[in-house]
Amino acid sequence: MNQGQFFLFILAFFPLISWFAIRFFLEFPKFYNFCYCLFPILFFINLIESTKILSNGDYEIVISEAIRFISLAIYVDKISIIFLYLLALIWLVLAFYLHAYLRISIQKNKNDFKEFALLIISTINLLILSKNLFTILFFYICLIIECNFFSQKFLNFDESKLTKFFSFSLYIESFLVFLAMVLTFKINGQLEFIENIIVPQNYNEKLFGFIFLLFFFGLFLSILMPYYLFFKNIKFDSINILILFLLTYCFASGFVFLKIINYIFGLKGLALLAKKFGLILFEIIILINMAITAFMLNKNNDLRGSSYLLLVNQFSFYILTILFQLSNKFHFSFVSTIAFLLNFSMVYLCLANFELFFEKSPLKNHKSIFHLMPITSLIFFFSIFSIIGIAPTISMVDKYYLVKSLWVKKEVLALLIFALNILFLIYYFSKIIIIFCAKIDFNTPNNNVENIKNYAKLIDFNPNLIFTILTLAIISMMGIIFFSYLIKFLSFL
Amino acid sequence: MEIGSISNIYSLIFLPFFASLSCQIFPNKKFCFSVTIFCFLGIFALILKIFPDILIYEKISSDYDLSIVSLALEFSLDLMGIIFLSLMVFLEFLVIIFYKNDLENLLKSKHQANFYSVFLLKIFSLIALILSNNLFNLFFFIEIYSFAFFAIATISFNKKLLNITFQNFCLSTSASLLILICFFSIYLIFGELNFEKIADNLFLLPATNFWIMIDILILISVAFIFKFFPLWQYFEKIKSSSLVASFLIIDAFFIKTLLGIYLVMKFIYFFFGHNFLFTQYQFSAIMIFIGFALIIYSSIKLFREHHLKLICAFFSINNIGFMISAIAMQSIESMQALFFFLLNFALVNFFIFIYATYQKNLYKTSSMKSLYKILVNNPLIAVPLKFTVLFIAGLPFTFLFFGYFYIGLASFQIGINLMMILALVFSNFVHFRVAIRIVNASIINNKIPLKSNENIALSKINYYQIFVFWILILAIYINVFSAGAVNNLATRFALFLLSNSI
Repeated sequence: MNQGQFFLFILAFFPLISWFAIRFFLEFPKFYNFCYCLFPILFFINLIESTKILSNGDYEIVISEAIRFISLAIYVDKISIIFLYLLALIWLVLAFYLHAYLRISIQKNKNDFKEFALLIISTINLLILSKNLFTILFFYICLIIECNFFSQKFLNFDESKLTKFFSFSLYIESFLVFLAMVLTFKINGQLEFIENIIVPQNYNEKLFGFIFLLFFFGLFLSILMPYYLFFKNIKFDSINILILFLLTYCFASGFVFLKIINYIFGLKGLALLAKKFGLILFEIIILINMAITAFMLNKNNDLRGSSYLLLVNQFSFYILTILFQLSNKFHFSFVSTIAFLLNFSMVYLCLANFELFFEKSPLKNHKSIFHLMPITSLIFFFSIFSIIGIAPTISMVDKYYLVKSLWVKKEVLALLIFALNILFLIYYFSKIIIIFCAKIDFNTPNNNVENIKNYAKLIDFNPNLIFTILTLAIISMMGIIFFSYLIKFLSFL
Repeated sequence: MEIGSISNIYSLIFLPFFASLSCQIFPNKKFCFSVTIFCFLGIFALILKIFPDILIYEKISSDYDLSIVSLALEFSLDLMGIIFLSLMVFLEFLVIIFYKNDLENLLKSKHQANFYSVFLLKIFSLIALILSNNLFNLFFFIEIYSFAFFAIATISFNKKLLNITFQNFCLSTSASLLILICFFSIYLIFGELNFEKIADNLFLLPATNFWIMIDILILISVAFIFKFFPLWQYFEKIKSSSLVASFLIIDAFFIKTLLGIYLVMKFIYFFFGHNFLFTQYQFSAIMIFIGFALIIYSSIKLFREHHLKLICAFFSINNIGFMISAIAMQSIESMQALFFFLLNFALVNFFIFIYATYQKNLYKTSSMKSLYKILVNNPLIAVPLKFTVLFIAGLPFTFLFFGYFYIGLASFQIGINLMMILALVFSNFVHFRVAIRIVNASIINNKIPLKSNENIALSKINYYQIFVFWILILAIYINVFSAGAVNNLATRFALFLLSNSI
């Protein structure tokens, strides 16, 4: 094992080793908590150091090889590095946030919850470093099993019923990816991520179109299937949405999709597919999905009940965005991904703060919450403005370039979807802001106003709970300042 | 051929025979068990010694040609034979260790000697059956094997079990008669009983006489189904807590079925041949359809089933369905798939079955709902099952995954093969569902405290059974970590069958 491989090994298995290690520290709570926050910092430092070494050569570790080109192997490429930084950031934020959140929360199995979040991060880390489709499928199935495990252990009965559907659709996804993998292997005889596996010279349009469909639905079927229609009264905790859906599903499937486009089809291959068949099928599916979720969101006034629908709605839009970005400028799809993950991490962490307040407070909805928790509310407003694209964040530039390229290409339907989405978001979020800022009198016989305010302050001024979200907001803002550097860094793709 | 290799083959056959005799001569229970174990170790050593030769020459056979009806001198071992032999002997070894304590508690000292003697006789017939290169030998050892199987059933003193065994005996006898008629017909047509010589003479058979081959094919198919795959007879008793019943069911479901699969493959490839079955008469469509039907049937049954023993039985039917389809597809990929389904059938399904038997003995139920009792409270036994869940789910690098992968590769072509993609969807789904249900069973109920008698049952640790679980899981994971070598062996297996078929 040379130096590069050693660094790669550490990078790949550090989160998993951390997960094993902290389980041994359960008897020593202080040390346990200290290590839980220390490990992501160490990982971040290690990532910075490893990047310098790993970017100088092609390093890989083959864990096990079945036959040539079918192996369980890890490596680092430039796409992986971007996602590793993103994951390291989320891990860091989540570790500090969860430490404070669970200390205040009345949730049971607190340590299990923390460990589980770490296990999911370690699996995603290995997924990011996968060297071939086979390894990706392996870790993708591991994530599905973990999802199911998570829902059984931490969600209540109604929620776990929805996640059962979700796990089932994830299973169908994994099978579709499996079929796509078998077909790719049959055509090309290998599954490794080398430059453009299915080269356009051997182009069989219908077959490759079919493989693309398998991959597409193999990664996004769970979000495009409207099974949430049967679960109208589901109220997920935001922290669960963040871990179970945003991190485990959106992050992982978004990454895999970008990787597959880059290595399996190649940008040229995708462009040819888009030219031949167009993106009308995807546009219609996504438009229908967005319309249903928007309708349901509009009917639902409870933010906690609709936060899951918001994710479905906006993730659908994100899929359409990256499809257009991929067929225009590949590196802009990474900007969209970063913007999406940062925005929604901020939203769900803010919502988790509010939910933490509702746990022990007699107030159970967001009405007038701005007056009790102004800091969290302001960050929340900032993050929703960022989602719309009017806050000075990376999301704003992303949306600007998206509209520009759609306008130049005269993609009328896509522009219409974009406009409708923005209009809907403005309408929906303005409703929320009005609820947040409404003035009500807390001074009722059942409420002790001072206690409520103190408890709100305890959360709103908790450094871990606020600084973690602020860090994300600052990074998001820095994205606009250093946008040209970011584009330059991504332009290798 | 080296004389050493041939002598190893004869040692392999006669070692259990002499061990069986010594159990009769010295009927001491400790001696009998020790002899059995040493006999198995000897067989493993001989298999290990022969294996490299087989990999080089593909086939080792005796060259003696003394008479047509020769009992002792016509044995051969090929790549397919040694794979089946290793699997079956390994399973028999695990079975005898698993039931060691229970059998000693059930049987008196003298009966134990008889039992071990008969058991070793069964091993002798099993090995000889696989090594037979002559139809006469084959028939002779099939009968010894059947005799040993029924002799073991008599120690149960269970009226219901004996009743089922008697029904099985009747079927088996009629099947034997059919086999005898077939073999006699073959002798009359070809004037030979040796497999290789029959294969040489097959092309000399006039085209007008090919209807005789069809008759033989039908008769022998019926005979083999009755003789080796009468699984329906054991479904009634599968959930029985009777020791002998579970011993016999393991034998019938795994070892006898493996033997049946081996003989079916031997006849398909080295007697009827690819040319006759798949080129002249297009049996592949029928076989794929049968395989497909078995997979769909077992998948539907598995959907609601929560008894581990029945789950295992349906898993086995599912795997057999895939094996039949793989044989019919006649490509390298399908043969590789067959190899992996074979391993999954023999190792993973076997593990689930003995695990279910263990749970049944402890808690009088093999339901998945009671799994948590073991999973939560006894890590020594829980860990192997937790590791096996990955194999049930068919995660990458497991036998099931490779089986699906290769069958998928073989199925993606225009024609009836495409049907197997649908079978893959069903099978993959139910396997994954069972795996998830096992995971959930250990999470949902793990806070329920055990009753006092359940705790007592759990505290009585049977180290022989734990040893079997760990040996089996070790064998499974060795195969995973040497996936490269196993895949190479699968390719060799596929090439051997396709290139040597008539």
